[in-house]
Amino acid sequence: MQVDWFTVIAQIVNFLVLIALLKRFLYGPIIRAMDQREERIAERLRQAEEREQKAHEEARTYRERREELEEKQSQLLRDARGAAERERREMIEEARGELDELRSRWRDSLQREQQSFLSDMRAQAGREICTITRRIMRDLASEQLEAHILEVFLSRLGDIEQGERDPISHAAEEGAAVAVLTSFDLPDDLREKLEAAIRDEFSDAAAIQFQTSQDLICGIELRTEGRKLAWSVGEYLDALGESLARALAQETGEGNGD
Amino acid sequence: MTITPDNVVYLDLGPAKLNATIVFTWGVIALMVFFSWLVTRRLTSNTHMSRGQNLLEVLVDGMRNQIQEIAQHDPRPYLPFVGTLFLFIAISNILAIVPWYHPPTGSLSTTAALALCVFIAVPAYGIAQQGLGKYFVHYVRPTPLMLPFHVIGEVSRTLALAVRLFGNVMSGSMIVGILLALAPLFFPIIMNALGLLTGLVQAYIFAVLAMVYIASASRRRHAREGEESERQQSEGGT
Repeated sequence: MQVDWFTVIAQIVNFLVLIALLKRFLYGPIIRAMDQREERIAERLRQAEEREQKAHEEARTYRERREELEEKQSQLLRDARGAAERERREMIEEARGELDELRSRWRDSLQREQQSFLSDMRAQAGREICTITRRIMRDLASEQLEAHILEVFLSRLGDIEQGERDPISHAAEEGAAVAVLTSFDLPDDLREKLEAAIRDEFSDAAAIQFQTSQDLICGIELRTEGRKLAWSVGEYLDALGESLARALAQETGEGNGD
Repeated sequence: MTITPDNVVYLDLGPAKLNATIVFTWGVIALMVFFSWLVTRRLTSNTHMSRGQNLLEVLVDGMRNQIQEIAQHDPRPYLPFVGTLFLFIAISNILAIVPWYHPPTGSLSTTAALALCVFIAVPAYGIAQQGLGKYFVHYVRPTPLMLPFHVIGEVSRTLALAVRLFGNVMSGSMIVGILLALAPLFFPIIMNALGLLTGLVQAYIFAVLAMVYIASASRRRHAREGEESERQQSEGGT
């Protein structure tokens, strides 16, 4: 195998030249470009990381702000709810108060009406009862009854108290007229009997006048100078009217109580 | 039939003969430099780049990674030398498919020149990395008795480097030539294709071995591993 030493030297030179040329045209620029690219990529990655971090921070800020807003909103809602609840309670209280007042007013007026109605009815009832009784007594009046009435009057005359008899006696003795009112004309015998009883009781000098009066209902009345001694059914009727009115008043009073 | 392109002489100037080896080497150099210049004059560091730049970046990055793997070291100082070895041998061999082209690597002169370069580069890198004294001390380790063996080892592996490449490339051309005579159809094409493969493999082996020698010289600690891998590589390569 032949080795041409000139060619060997030439090839060594060629190779060295090639190394130099490739270093100049290939390795240098290519490696520089690659390094630059790596740097740029690293830079971009760094920037991206920074941006990401910034975005994260912003997102966190927004999240916090949103949570704050939500918190505030719920707080407002709670407040509003509380206020509405308070308002509602107040309004209910107010309405209840008004209602109570109305009710009591209504009850008062009802009671008043009831009372006036009852008192009207009471008066009416009393009047009716009296009227009916008077009518009955008038219808029943007769001579026999009159005799009985006279009997009663006479017994009453006998039972008269000292304090009541004395002023009448005095008046009769001094000559004052003693009027005897009856609701009907007394027969003579009865008149005499009555006269005798009066003279016996009060004074012999008594000037007795007999009169009739329609106002008396089945009764006899003795009058002298402002003094009066009487027995009549009217009195009883008056007492009955009073007691009736008392009873009714009591009843309505009890009714009002509950 | 010419075994070596040294014998194809275009211009005879006495001792200096302008033969096919030199001319085609110039051609290959011109092609490589032109392509590199064409691509690198419009370099960009963006993510968008030309296809040429992409190709060159893949090449340069691949070579850097290979060197990094072997040297366990920053590949920057070794890249121009080892990378150029690989690229020159690979392109010289690949262009063998071009008609009337004589691969310069098929000349023992060229392979010898390259092997000589490696022979010089190994101590040069070693001294540059470790200093003169430290580098030469390893020749007398473990005993000064080992000195001749170290020297013989250095020389013989350089010789082996040259002859391995020359033999492979020359045989590729020879086989194609012989097959052309025997079976002119189809077979030469297949053999040519195979030649491309062996050409690339040879370029790879040459560059890797050079790197291994340089690395072993630069860092003594890896010397033994380097020699072991050299043995394996040479056994697998030839």
